[in-house]
Amino acid sequence: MRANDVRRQYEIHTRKRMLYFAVATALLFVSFIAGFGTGPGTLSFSDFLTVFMGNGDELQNRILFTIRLPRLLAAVLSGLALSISGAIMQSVLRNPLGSPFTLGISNAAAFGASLAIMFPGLISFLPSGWIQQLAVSLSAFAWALTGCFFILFMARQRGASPVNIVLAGIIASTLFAALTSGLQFFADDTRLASIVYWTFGDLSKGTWQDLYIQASIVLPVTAFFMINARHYNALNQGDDTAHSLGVNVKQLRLVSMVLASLATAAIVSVYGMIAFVGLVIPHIVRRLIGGNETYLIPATAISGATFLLICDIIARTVISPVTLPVGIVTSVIGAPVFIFLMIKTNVFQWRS
Amino acid sequence: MAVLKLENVQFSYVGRPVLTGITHTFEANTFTAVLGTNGSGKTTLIRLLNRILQPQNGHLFLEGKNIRGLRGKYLATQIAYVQQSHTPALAVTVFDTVLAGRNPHMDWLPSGRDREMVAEILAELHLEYAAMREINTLSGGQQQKVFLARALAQETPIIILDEPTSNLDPRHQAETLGLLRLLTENGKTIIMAIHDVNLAARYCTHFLMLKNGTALAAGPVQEINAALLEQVYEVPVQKHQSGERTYFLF
Repeated sequence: MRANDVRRQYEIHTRKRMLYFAVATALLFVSFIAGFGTGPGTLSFSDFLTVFMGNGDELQNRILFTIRLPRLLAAVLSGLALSISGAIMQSVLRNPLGSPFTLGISNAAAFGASLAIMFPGLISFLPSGWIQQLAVSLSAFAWALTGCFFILFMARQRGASPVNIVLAGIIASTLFAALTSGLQFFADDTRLASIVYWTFGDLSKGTWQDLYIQASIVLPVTAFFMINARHYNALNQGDDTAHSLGVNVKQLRLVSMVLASLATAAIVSVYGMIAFVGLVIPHIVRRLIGGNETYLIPATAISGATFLLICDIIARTVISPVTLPVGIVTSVIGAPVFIFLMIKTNVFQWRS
Repeated sequence: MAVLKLENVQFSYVGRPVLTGITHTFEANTFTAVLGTNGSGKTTLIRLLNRILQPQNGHLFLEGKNIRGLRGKYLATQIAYVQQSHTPALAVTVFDTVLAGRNPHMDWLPSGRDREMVAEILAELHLEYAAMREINTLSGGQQQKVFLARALAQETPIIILDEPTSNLDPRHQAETLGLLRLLTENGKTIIMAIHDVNLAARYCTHFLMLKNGTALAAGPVQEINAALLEQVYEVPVQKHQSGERTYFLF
């Protein structure tokens, strides 16, 4: 019977997806473990088993729990947050070039952070204590939202084609980059250094407290995206069709963009600019397992986390003992991959 | 039984009136062609029936209930919609496209029954060979069939289509419309905006003729005549009879 034929094809397809999940998850674990063992300060595998058992000396404990573990968790969270933000932006704007970077949202967040570093007085009205400590992040988030609303506004204009939306993103990016440069120009040496240092995407900047805050933002946002996966599938069929499939199109698009920007800002405001993860990872995953968001979103999350873990290992080893900012590595790897994808899969010809 | 009823429905886009008061009833188990010139409000009417737009005046009733008050999820189990040639922007397989039609019946994840249904519909429409192909790689005619499959997967009594044949060659036009006719005979109610009067006369059971935002005429397709078409399209029209079939020459 012909329906059996479809069932069989679907099973093969599902098996391929499951295989991808298995491989990606295995890679995630392997790179996480490998990440423990690399970096300045040698710590062999048996060493950190000892440390894990609670039998390490003080130095070993410090390396593991205050340097390496937060850094690895930062890589996992950042990779996850940036890549699913990209996947969701591509999906709700129906634009293969959507990502926190191409849409100017990362640069907007960077500007927000620079502003708070430059003018600590601006936030002195806030109650002191933890809110003050969060000021840089809050400012980054506020500006990321500004960038997000600008893109949504542009996407709503009549005849807004995918190319126009990306063009608007490039304009926003350039503007925010210029504003950040402007701030740097007038900054004194200390603040200049702190802004410049901030713009390097570097995973060593986070503290445990940063991680808690990021996790409490990124994980619920990820859950929201996964729960709504079927609605993103419907949205891909066109706004009117999605509407007739029971999706509240305007609300879903707005909430998704805001949450994706929030997740991006949570990462960018602490670690700085980490480019290409949000753009390239969803594309590679789409190529490998197809565009069904139910699978795409979790697969992108796992792959993004793995990618950043691997990039971070490279960053720590390539010119050891110096550790490169991971943002440099992601761009150096991401750019050729994206060009390869462009040639192979003609992203620009995807229909609007 | 009246399935969809419009009472004095009016709609304008920022000051530009499109529909100036339409009263019409779509009966159950009919296949209605919404006809009219470009800009006569066909697409607007179709989008009102779907509640994608809300009328500024007048009311729409779905089986006697005002559609304004219905829950979106419920409405999605009653009316399916195939919009004018829209290829998904991001690559997705035929199977997953049809599976999207199950959205109003799912909570979170598709069930085994959802997938089963997609497999059966694809087989029924002879699309099994394309099930795992990306929809963008299919021809316009095949794509239209996939979108129809998606609407069938939605399991609604009513299906609304906007110009389903506009990009199709004659063979695929005949195939698509023949299938829609068959669905009507099997209990669906179908409403379709279409330009081609001859296709409408051949495959539909009823018609609704729009002119300047009002319903100029409506009834069984047998009542379409040259005088009416001349009045609407403002060009000379000749009627030809060939055996059982009637043709209008513009």
